[in-house]
Amino acid sequence: MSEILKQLSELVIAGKRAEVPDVVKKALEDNIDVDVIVKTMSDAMQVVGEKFNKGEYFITEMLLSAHAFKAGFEVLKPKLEEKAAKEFGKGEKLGRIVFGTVQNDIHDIGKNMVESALTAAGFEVYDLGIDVPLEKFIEEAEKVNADIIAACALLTTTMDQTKNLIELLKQKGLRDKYKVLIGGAPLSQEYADRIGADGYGEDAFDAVIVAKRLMGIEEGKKN
Amino acid sequence: MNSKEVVLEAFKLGVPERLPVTPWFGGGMWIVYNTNDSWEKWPESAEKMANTYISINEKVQSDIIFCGSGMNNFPVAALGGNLKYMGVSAPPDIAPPFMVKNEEDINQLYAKLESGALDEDRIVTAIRDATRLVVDRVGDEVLVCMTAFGPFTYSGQFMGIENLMMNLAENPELVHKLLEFSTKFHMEYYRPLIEDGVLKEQMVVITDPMAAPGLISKLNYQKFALPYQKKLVDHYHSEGSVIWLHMCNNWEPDNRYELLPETGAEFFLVDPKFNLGLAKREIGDKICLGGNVDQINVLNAGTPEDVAKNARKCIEQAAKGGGYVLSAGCDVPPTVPFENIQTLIKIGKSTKYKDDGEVILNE
Repeated sequence: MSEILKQLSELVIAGKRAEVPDVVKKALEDNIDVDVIVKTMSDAMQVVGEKFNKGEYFITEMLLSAHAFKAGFEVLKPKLEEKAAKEFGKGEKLGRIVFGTVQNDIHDIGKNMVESALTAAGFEVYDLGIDVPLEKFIEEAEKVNADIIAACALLTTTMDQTKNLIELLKQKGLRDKYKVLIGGAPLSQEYADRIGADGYGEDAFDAVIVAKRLMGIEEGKKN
Repeated sequence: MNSKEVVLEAFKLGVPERLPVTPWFGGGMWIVYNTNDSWEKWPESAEKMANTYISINEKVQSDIIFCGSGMNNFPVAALGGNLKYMGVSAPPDIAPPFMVKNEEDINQLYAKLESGALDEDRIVTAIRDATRLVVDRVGDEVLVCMTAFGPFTYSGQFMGIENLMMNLAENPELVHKLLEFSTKFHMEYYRPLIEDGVLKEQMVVITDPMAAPGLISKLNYQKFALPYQKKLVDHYHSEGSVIWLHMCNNWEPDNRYELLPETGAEFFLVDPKFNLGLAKREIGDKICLGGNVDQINVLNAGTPEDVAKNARKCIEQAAKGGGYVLSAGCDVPPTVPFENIQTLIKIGKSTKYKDDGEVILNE
């Protein structure tokens, strides 16, 4: 790995969001391929995930890294779009995910981290924000032709909205069209099984593993 | 021993006559939902709130009444925070957050607090007055408290949680200034009750969910949450109140539980994610423990038999030798069936202690 990419990786892991954009710009000036830069940052986020799983990192550190990743990604966005237009059909995303916090729940911190982790892993994420009505999840999924509907709830009082989402999909005859991924502090695998969700993500990085599994992608086999 | 006496004995790490029990931590949502009230109308009258707390407790028979439960954000709203009501089944929250960005913003919060914004607020006054009425009417029999968030969580409401989390690393000086404010804000919320001695030999609640493991590191808990929680505990102790402390999640990694007795609180409520038996073994001789009946999968979704099984497991893990309160592990969903609440209370009240601290579990 070149010195500049090594530096970029370290900055994302350390969550130095203010310093990342300049280093990304420098890497582009050095004619490093945009995909390589993205991969460097994604791999760095993977390290962040491992640190989180090991209990070395917490929300503070995860947020700083997620913001550092985002700041770098913003710099690359025009280049990535340019490249996508040129190489249409190549380098497709792993899948499309419509994502939001359920109605009457305004917690966004966890949702934002999961979104960053999913984007870093190569998913195309449509963020509906917080306090999202159930109908909106389905409307948006239909509109963008999503693969997965991901809903999070952070309150014991709003968690049943995830169950209602599944019921609504059934009522509309759309249950088999989408995989439903749920997450949030009061939820559990036990709860997900009970309501018939396709997957439960315990944290941001677990959500990536589960989303990949739902898309039939085995962990370890990178595209 | 009456309800209040059994709880206070357990808080002293003593052995009461029987097991102290409460079906919830808070229960505000359950009460509002089950009395067909709404969060918008609920705080209209202190008299109505107090009567409801008392009449519900006559039915439920909890050893503790939590006044103001579900209303921890109302004092934030009194300083100008935008309160968002989200139906009957979720407590009102602050949205969007205040977004304190600098010292000047904190100074403005001080100015509002010092100008009497809390005392002038209709709802804050109603919560305080309802607490006064409940203490006045049943406070000799039942332990009564007024609930509030802890300084770290209130700081999240003032700064925005995401900003607070990142500023722990990027601007710790500003976070400490805000935590100082939030500590003062907590004291100010309770001040009239403390000054009038209402909460003497009653309880103050410090629930600080944002300072829980999984959210911040042990080191950050030590730096940014523990000292301010301790400051509150010392303050209320000097006024004769006892302290119920709660933070969610699992305190086992990094042996973080070791820090809980350092707060000085009499009591810590153990979340269902934290091993109650381990907590009892490691810190049960330093702080009274409570919990950790699963409020979601058991109290809300289970049968009375499931509740009984979970409650007995908790008793086996933590009741021996006293210093334990049987309780839900966190605030309960509003849809918990009444028969499940009754089951928990019945088990608690029928579980007696021998003088040597052995438990006589009534099958």
